[in-house]
Amino acid sequence: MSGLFGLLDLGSSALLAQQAGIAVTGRNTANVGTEGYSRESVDLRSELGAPLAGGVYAAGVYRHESSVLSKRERSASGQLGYYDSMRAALAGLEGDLAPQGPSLVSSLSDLFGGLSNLAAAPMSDSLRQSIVGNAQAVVNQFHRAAADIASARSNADKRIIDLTDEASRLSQRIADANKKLQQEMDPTLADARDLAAKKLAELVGGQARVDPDGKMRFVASGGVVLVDGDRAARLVATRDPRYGNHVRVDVVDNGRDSSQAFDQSGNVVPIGQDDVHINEVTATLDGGRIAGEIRFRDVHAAAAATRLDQLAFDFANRMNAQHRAGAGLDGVSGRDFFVPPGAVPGAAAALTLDPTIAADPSRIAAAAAGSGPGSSANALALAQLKDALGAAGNTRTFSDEAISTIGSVGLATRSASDQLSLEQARTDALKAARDDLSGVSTEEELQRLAQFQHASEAATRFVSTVNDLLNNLISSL
Amino acid sequence: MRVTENRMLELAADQLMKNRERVANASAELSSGLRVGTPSDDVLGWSEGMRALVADADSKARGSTIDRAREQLSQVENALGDISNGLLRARELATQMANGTWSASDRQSVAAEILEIRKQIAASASVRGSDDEYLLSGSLSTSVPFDPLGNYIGDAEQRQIESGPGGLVEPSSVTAQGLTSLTGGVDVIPWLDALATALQANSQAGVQAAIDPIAKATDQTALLRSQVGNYLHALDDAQAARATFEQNLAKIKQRAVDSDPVAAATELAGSQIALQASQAVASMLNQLFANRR
Repeated sequence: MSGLFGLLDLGSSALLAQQAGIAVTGRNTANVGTEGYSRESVDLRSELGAPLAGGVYAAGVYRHESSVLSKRERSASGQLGYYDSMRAALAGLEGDLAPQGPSLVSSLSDLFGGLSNLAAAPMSDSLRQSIVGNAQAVVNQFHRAAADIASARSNADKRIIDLTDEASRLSQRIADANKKLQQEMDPTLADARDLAAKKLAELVGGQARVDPDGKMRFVASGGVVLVDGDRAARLVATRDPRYGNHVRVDVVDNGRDSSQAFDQSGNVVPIGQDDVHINEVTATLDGGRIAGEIRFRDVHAAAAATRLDQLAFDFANRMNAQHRAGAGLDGVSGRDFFVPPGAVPGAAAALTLDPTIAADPSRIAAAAAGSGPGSSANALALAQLKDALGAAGNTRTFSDEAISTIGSVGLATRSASDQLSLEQARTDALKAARDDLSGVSTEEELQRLAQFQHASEAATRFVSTVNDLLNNLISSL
Repeated sequence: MRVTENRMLELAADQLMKNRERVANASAELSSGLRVGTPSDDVLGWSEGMRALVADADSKARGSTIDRAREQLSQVENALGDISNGLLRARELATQMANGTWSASDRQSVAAEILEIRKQIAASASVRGSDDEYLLSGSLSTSVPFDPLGNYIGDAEQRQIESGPGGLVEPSSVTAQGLTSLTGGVDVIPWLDALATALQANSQAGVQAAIDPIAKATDQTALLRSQVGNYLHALDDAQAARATFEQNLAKIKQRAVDSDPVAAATELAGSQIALQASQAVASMLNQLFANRR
């Protein structure tokens, strides 16, 4: 049986326990809007003691969180980031390639229409001038489309550079949190580490796990370790001629500046006594925003550029072949209509109307070779090229191939949008699950506060009563 | 399941954003008249719409080409009409002067008229188009079709133009070769010269000998005119077919990419109501949580 002083201890332990509860409730309420915060509860336990003794103590604070849910959130975050970045980049490119006004498709139509008109009036100066204008418009549209694709890929590079910097910062943040959590278990720091891991997963995909020693290990999609204990690797984006001077992405360990880590051939160079471990991940990342940007740049935009170049190449060569077969008003045949493209890569950006045709439209070869200037047989043949299967390996007309090339970007955009919708639905469901488990409800916290308040008041009353008893006892001695 | 205040506010904000986007999309569709504005809206529809636009542009270009060709052929038809009238008069005069009752001076004055007819026929044969090209000289259209002796110095090349989709072509010109013996007939202008010479020489036999060739020349001209008429008819048919073709293209485009105004207006109204409802919910939640605070 405890004495009055034992009762005082009991009362004070109750006060301290309720104060801990109030403090935790206060922290929850204060962090109601903090991103990534997991609500906490105080673990109240009865103290062991003989009958009529013992009290309560706050054994600790525990977070309402689930490692399984966190893992699923990171996975969803990686997929969401991947499709979101890819969709945004594709939508931008689609808007550039398929404007509401004049386009490559309409300019091709106008050129063939002009040649059709010339078949009825091959001597017309105004029609010939008009054809030169139409041809120049086709050239301009090819240039514009090629520039739009190049610009989209270049912008993807810029975004990749920014994202790799951000990923490096997040990796370091996790490593720093690992180090601090070894010294002191702070639930808020654990929350911040989880949030950093989720944001990092959004950028690079991959997964994290907390080892038995309490340290988080983060592995990017493709299997490269970014964080191991209190060591963080960096992601570095570097321009590489092997990628057409677009950036490649490396994971650089040991914290060295990657510009010092390579020789001119791109080989790893040891620095000092430590080797720098470099892993190129450009092709192996398959989740997260960085992978989405890379896929946009190296698959979708690259494919559009290749098809556009092939179209320009085939179109110019076919037009030239037919044009050479005819004669201008001066009776001279064998002239090209466009400057012959040297190679398929870059053909769209390099397409040029033959300067002699541009300067003197009378050289447009409307007549059949050997006929008089009033012949329009070759103008008709040139106009009929619009129906010729001269593109895509001689399977499509030029207009159809232009439509198909732009359509393929639209199809990829739609596919990415659909996937994004699915991932958003998945993410929403996980958010709801997270909120259910870890979210702070101010209503609940206010109720708990009231409970702790009442319990604290009761404990205070108890202490006061015991105190009075003691005072009475002392005064009676 | 626990639903926190933050989650409720987040859901309300999400729904508000989605409904705003819905209103924006519905407004854009109604104001633009397009259900499919970009390829990603509906790739198949967009592609079909683009192909319809290309076919329509091609058809309009063909229409312009047909109009030009028609204008040229009409000019040629008028010229051949003048030639035909001249030959009919020459034939009439030759038939009259073949009679032995006419004097040398009568025949002299008729010879002058024949020479005037010959001059007009040569001028008509030199009909020029809007670009100053000689329409009856074949591909050698920078030169007159007949030399001073009435020999044809053009070539036989006929023009063709596109008259319909899929490579359909129609002839759009004739040459004055049809007025020569090169096509199995007679040389029109030299025979007029021969008639004038016979009249000037007061040769009744020479005049009689010219009657049949002049008659044949009249037939040749009529045949050539008929050919031009057939070409004009074919071009008229092509224009009519083109109008139908373009109407069908408009229907294809409408089906593929155009918006149904009634459906679009209904969607706009519905989305606006949904937006108002989500705004009301968001406002109510804000008030509810503010009161609690």
